[in-house]
Amino acid sequence: MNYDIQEEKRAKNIIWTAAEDYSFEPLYLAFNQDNTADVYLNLIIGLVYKWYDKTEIEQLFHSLGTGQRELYEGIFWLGLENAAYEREVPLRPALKELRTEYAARNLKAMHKSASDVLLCALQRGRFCEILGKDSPLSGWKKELLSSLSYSAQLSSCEIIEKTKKIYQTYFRYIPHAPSKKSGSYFLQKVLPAFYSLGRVHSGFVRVHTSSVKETDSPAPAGAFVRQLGVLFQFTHLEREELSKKYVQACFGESMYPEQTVHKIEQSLCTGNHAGLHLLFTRASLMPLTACPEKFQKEIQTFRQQTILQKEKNIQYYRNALPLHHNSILRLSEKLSNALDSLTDEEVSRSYSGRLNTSQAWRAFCLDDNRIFTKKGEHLSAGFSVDLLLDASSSRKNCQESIAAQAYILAESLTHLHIPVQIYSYCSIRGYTVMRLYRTYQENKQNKDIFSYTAAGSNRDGLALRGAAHLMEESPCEKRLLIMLSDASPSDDRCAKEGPFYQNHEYTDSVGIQDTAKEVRNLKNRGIQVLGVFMGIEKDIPAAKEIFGRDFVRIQDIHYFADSVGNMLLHSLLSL
Amino acid sequence: MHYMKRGTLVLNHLKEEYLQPALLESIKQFTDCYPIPENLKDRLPVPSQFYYGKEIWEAAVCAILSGKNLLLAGHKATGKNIFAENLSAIFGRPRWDISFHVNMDASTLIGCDTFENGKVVFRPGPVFQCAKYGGFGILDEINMAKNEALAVLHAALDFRHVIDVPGYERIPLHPAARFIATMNYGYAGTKELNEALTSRFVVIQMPMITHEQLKRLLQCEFPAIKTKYAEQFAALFLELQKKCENSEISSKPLDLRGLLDAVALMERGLEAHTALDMGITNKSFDIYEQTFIRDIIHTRIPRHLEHNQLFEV
Repeated sequence: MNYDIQEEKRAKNIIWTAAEDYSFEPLYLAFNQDNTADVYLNLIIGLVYKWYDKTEIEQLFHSLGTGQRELYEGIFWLGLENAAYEREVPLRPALKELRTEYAARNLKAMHKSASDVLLCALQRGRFCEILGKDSPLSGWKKELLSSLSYSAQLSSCEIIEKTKKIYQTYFRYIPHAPSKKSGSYFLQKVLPAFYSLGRVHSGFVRVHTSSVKETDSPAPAGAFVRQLGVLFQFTHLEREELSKKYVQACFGESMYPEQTVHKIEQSLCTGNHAGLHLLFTRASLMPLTACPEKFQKEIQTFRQQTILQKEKNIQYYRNALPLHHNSILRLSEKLSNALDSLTDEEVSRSYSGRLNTSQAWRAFCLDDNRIFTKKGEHLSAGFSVDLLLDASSSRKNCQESIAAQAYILAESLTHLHIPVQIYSYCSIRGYTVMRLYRTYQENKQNKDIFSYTAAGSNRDGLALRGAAHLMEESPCEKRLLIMLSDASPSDDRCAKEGPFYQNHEYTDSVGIQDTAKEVRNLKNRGIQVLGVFMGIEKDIPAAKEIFGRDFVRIQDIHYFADSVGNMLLHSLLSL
Repeated sequence: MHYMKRGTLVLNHLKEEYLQPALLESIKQFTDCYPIPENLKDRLPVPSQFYYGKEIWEAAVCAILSGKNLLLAGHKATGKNIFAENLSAIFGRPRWDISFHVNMDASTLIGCDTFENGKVVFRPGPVFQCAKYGGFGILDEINMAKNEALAVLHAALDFRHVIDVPGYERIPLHPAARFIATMNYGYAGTKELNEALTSRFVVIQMPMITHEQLKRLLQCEFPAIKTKYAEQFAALFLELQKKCENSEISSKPLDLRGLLDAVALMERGLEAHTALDMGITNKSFDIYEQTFIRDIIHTRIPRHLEHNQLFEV
């Protein structure tokens, strides 16, 4: 089932409001058949969190782990719905109307055949009960539904005990202690507890929203995903020239002439990065026929995948347009007042405004009526922002979201007349590719960010050197660099410093220390570096080592623009 | 003596709030000691709403009686301006409202030179007048201004109690003059006051309005409203407040005046959801945000609500 993120956020908001708590991620969300958030059911989910012990209730849900899990979960929800309703209805006059509407709507849409499924039969019985109609149930089913009419007086423990007893009596099932969760999943499981039309109608969806895999053993950042036919980051020991042509064919030709590239590499590809290359590109692609012949097929596949990804990025943004538009407005609003206080004033002589008494004589003696002063404002904020996005293959699972969030950020900053430059980086075949989406002046180029595609590994230290080079174009004295990173630099090309020259892989502590060193270098040059860390728990110390205190951890890429907004705000107020 | 009637009204209200009799007596002595000049009576506020909160009232009255300036810090819709107005009324002092903004400078506050009858003369600003006539200067959203623009207030606010206007004169503050500043913080773009300025105020942290206070306010404004729905509207507002605190919506729809306006429209016979749209939802011009707000309204206020269900007939 395809729930767009704006309806997911809406569902969560209904739940948080009802629960009077915004600090948790709900285990279930409820949607209508048309994939819009179901107001009543989400309200009930929130009320369950409000009235009952979250840990105990969720523990029982986690313990339902057999083949009949959907039935058991559904039965538990039938009981919880009744209990939460009974408990809240004296405090909320609208609840009765919402419940009746919900029951009538779903009963009408329900197929008679659906009643063959036990859970659907029970649900039909509950709808009839709510609407004051005769129950279609009889015998033990009627008895079961009746025992699921939990009253408002029951505590969490009593509800759990009662539910367990029902499982045992009617299904001879005893829930087991939940196993430790590993891995994460998104919109993972559909629960037919409140279905009224087979398996595709209004129901709860079990969620565990996280774009970050919380596994203990993450796949290496440079994992080879050959089946996609798009990643070729492992080094081939062919000639340098072939590698260069290959990388340029995939990502675009260099935006600088050959001589300039040589100069830049001479100055930047030194120390740990000696012998490596930097490719600054605007993704201007050479004709396929000019590409190395033996790789033409691979290159074509990569280009097709890139185009496909761009379309996906745009589609993703469009699917939740109101949400994204809302994010732009909120971010702009958040920053605008802080910016106002930083904006320079410009005082000029004028025909109206505040009287400048020292100039008043001009009116009488020179007939010059410009004896007033008027304040204008420089539109420039006095600082520029650079956004450096990690585009290594570890970002494969959230490319669309990263593109959307970066676009939100770019649009907000553009609205506020803050010069912003955005680029991503990845490393492949000895080349660290700096893909420039928009420069400080290109206010209408924000849409280019949707070309964001993840591939290859990430040589963070060299990317930071590349960023420093691009930041030289900044029109402002004060410069801020925001880096989206997983604090896990990794490249198949070795670091060239240190005594163990040959086995000095650019990964783990070597990569981290190098990146931290580059961040310090940037700070010494007066550039403020802020890190947005989106990675696994074990890499937090690495993020601290790299960024010091200037980083924020985000669990979900959807918080990227907001977090950057907060960091910017903080930085602006301290400027 | 219309202004006295107003003061009496507020005083009666305060008695309801159980302000200590000793404080009430001190307020009376203050007003007797500093009668308001006839030409400034128009500046005496006419409170139409009152701040509810015993502790805050006591703290503020004590501070003002001790000659301190007040800084009321708190979120939107915590009643800062209503309270400042109430204080001005209860102490029977003329009020000068000064709304701060980023382009505020010293001359806007103190005054500037102007041309009159062929001469350059000083045109006093609100802070100058307030200081001269012993008014209450309400420095609204003081943290919106640049700190350097506020430096001019330092001498007026600290032990020196003077305003020195370069090229004009150095005037001492009237003993009844007080400055009450308000500030939002934590909201979009607001910044902190610098230490030098903050140290010249005593600070009252304005608490969020409680469910009970909101209910009481609604019942006070709309005596015919049924308790059940006064509670629902109060809960609705608090839910919006919490959503705003958690940055899920902007602060635009968090509008207490908007809620009161909506209930007024309902009293006139407008359907509840339409009235709430006009008073609250449509304050946000973002369609997605409006969906969130309508969801809250739908879960609180029944769709088909008759006038006689809402108000006593």
